[in-house]
Amino acid sequence: MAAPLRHRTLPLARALLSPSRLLSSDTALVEIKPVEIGIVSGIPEEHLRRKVMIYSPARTATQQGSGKVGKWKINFLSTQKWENPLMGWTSTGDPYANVGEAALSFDSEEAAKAFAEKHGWDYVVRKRHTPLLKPKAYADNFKWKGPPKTDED
Amino acid sequence: MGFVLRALRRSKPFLQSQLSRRSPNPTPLRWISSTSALSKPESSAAAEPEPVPAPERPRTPVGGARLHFASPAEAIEVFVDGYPVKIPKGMTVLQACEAAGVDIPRFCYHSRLSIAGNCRMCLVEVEKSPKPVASCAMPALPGMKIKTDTPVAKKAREGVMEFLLMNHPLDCPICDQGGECDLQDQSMAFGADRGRFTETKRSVVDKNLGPLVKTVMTRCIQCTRCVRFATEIAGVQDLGMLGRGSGEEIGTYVEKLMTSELSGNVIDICPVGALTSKPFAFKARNWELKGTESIDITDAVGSNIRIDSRGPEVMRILPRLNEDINEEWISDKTRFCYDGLKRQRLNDPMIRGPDGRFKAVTWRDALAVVAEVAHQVKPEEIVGIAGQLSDAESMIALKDFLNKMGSNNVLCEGNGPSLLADLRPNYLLNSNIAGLEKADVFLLIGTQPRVEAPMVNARIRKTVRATQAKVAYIGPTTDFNYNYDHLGSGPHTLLEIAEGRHPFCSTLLSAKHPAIIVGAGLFQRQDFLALFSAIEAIAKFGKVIKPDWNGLNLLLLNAAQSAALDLGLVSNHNESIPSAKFLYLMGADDINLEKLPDDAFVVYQGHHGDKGVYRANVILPSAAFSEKEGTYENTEGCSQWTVPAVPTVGDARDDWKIVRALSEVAGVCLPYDNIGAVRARIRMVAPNLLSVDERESSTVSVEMKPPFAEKLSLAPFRKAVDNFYMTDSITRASKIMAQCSATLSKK
Amino acid sequence: MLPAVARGAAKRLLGIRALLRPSPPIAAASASRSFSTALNYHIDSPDNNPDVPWEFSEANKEKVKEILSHYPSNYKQSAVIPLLDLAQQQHGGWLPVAAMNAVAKVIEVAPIRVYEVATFYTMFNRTKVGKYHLLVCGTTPCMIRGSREIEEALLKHLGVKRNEVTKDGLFSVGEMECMGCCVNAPMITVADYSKGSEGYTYNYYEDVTPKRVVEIVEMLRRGETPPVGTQNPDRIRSGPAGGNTTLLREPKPPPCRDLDAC
Repeated sequence: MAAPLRHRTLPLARALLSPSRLLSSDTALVEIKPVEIGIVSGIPEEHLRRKVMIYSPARTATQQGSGKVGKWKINFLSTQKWENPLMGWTSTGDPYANVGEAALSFDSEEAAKAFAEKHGWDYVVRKRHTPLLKPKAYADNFKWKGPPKTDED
Repeated sequence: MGFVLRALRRSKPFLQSQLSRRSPNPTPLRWISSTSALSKPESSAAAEPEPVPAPERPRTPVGGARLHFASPAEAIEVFVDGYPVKIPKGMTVLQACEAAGVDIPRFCYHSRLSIAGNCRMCLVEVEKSPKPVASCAMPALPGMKIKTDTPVAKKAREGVMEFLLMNHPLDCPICDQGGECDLQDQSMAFGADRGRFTETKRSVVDKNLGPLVKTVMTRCIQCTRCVRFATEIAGVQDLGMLGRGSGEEIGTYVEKLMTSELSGNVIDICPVGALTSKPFAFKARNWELKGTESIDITDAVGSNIRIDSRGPEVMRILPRLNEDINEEWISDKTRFCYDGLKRQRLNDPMIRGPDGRFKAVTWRDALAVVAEVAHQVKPEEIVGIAGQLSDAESMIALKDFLNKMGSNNVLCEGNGPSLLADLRPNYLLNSNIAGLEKADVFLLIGTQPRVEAPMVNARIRKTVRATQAKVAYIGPTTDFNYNYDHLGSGPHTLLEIAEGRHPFCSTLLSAKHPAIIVGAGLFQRQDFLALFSAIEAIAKFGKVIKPDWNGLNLLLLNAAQSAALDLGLVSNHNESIPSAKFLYLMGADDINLEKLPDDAFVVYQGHHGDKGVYRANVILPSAAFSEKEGTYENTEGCSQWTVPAVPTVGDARDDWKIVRALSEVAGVCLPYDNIGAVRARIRMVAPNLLSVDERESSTVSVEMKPPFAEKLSLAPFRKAVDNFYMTDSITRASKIMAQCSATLSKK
Repeated sequence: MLPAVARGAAKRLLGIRALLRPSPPIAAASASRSFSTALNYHIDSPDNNPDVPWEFSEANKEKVKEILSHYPSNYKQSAVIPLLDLAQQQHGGWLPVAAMNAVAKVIEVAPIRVYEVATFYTMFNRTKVGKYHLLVCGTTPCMIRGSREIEEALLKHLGVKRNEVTKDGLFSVGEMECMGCCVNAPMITVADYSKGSEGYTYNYYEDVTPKRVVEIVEMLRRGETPPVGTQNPDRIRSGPAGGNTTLLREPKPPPCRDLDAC
């Protein structure tokens, strides 16, 4: 729902701005090259060349709401989790496990790509499937079925 | 939800002023007044004089929807909240609003069902109309000025909501729909904070619809979506609206289970908690779940799904929109097989001891044993069989490994002895699933799409309903949920049609877009090549393949099948199994091992302790589809990826990694050690597998194929799938599927 | 937001409602008031289950053909109401599931489509009724003129509850909404299923009194047919008691504007 509020800024600026807020705008004095963010921010090496998937979550089939539809997210393909024997809670060995789902959300595919490039992630983009609106009418319920069939069979 | 925000703004002018004060440029917030700069010149004269600071940004349709224009001339322009939008003629007001990016609240309207117009939640104000208009049932007319967030519309919806909530129980804390309930959401926007209804609420007796759908009928708001779904999509006319007035209820009248293979979808379309998932009841709340967008592999359709998991456990599976494949439905098998992912799993590598019992060992030991045995037998005695759930990565790894060991006996179960793997159109659904909607005559040969591929069947049914397309069927008696002509039960009828002696020929010839669908169950026949040449003769005779239409289709059964054919896993199992001394089963459970020599060494690599394990000497545990990244190609030749949603069980590993590790132990190291490199290898063999979500149109015409000079046996066709609910190792391990096949399958 | 005035008004309304609320026993009766004779779902019983064979009688088969001939052959389902009515007359005033299934077969639709219609219309009885099904009008004009007493008298005389059949299977009492005889309120209707679909009648008895309905019931029990229409000897049809007071002379032509004048 915050989409319209941020719409005016340029996509690139938004990409830089949205999650990390390291730079103020696209007219920043510092130029960032791909991969640099990851190196500068001291992220462990094994997370620098991660494989991520950029996708746009589909509308939940169970609900009408479309407020979250059209956002782009990054899935870190993280499955390193287990049920902790102490409390039965879920533990994870991956610092990014909960980042993609909860924290990263982009207004456009380009923004998500730019973000991934900046961090040096190896990304693939999944196609976004959109619904097809076809005309339909209430009157179709009462459409004439045509003339009665003659006895042919 | 856009309308929630809008309604909140409307009800709280205070909040609105706060919002606009904070943001210096208030244009992103939508105003009721129309934007004169964008409306037509003549109408802008009448519009309000208030100056608009900046032009409004172009609006995108709700959910990024595409508009279907039959022809550009059919476009009309309407104004939604003052914003002009071009829509195809014949759309409803609600669809016009959707095209303008306004989500109208609704309960009874569903984009894939017929319009009922009975919930009245979608009331909007239309200029010059004396009353609010039910937008779902009202056709949009040129120049119509629709206002969706006026006080009149809001008040009307509040009135409707009050009536809906009158008899709705205050169940939300114990309701499974809580948190993903349209009624809950919309009552946040339009519900009153107190009730004026002082009488007692009605209660309704719950219905028993079978082991999948749980009913709490008191919660029902009579939107009739489930009735329409059952009647229109599922084709089982069991549900109905009984009684009248406040006593009205949804039910079957006589005690009846819902015996549709698509019944689970009523859970999704129910806007309240009246129909919920029985296996999922009281298991989790939807906000605890993490959704992973993946695909289904229980049949060859590759339905798009979302795997909802909590921690390391798959909690449920939901459909995901894909207009080209499954629209927004999935079959019951897809939806409810998930409990099979938690049962009978193989955790550790195991070796069968001399006493016949399995003993858990380390990966190192297990692989060493396998590699040692593999080197003891002759290369041509090594046979590898990929199972029906294998992904393309593991199949190419298996093939490469066996080739390096000197054997070329690699096959995929279900693909039969004689195959046409040279040309892709020979084993794909060439007209595409969505393309089937164009067909006007269907000829189903030896296939029962209702059990083999319910989503394809739903497409055929949709086409039959919409255009009265004719369906003819050759095969054993079975039940269809649309009208069909049963032409015969075997190749005899096929020959008659091919020679033009059958009355069906005239129907076939008069068709514009005839579609022949051949079942993959026929692959198992010895005379498949002869059959196929007869079918090709029919295709040629009926002009089924045209420059713009390829109606000769094969409907595959398993998720692995088409990728296996692409990758060339095409050995004849009748020849290779009897001579096998080292058999590598990669998840293959349904292959007939009776002819396997007793002294053969069998390695079973898979995720479930299923049929294949009984004969195995070594077990290598692998990851199931919900735990790995894999490429699967569906029956129409569209490759898609599964995405890992949960961690693997125990010490299991990805299939291709196991084969890669084994190759190293065996001294024939495969040249790839990450999934990217495996895919690079696939690119050399079958590049189409890497273009995800794309279909290549087939251009091969019939003439290029040589005719087969084999004898056709006249034995009638047999059913390919006996039990819809149990077709692979996951579904066979599932308790829910077992219940379904006990109660729902027709004997 | 909600001003005190509105709250006050709501409180007053509640007060008025409390005043109007009838005393508890009647309230309980009105809560259980149902127009239909049965539940909206089916419970199998020995004489009402899908396995009971049911077919239209030979004579009625002709009627079915006649009814179907009114509709185009691809709109057979339009005949659902006349056919259900016929089935109900044939089956002694009520529709077992088997009869509805038979109708569904005739009009070639799924049985549920017939159940929907049969449960919607309250004149289709889905539980047993008496040979004479007495329907008391319960709508406002009749109620004001004493339909509650009429019903009470009937129930007391027959010793049954509403929608219950007497032990001899002859009578049952139900309630109907307005049957358009308000000028002769109160009224009852007698649906006579004793002679099958051939001799089926559906008669109105108007201007009834608690005493008169009992007499009517007794006459029916003896096999007589009470005179239909108003039971008030002073009235002729819907005319006033004691003879007509208007329209006694030749009616005057209506006053007409002189069209030539303009």
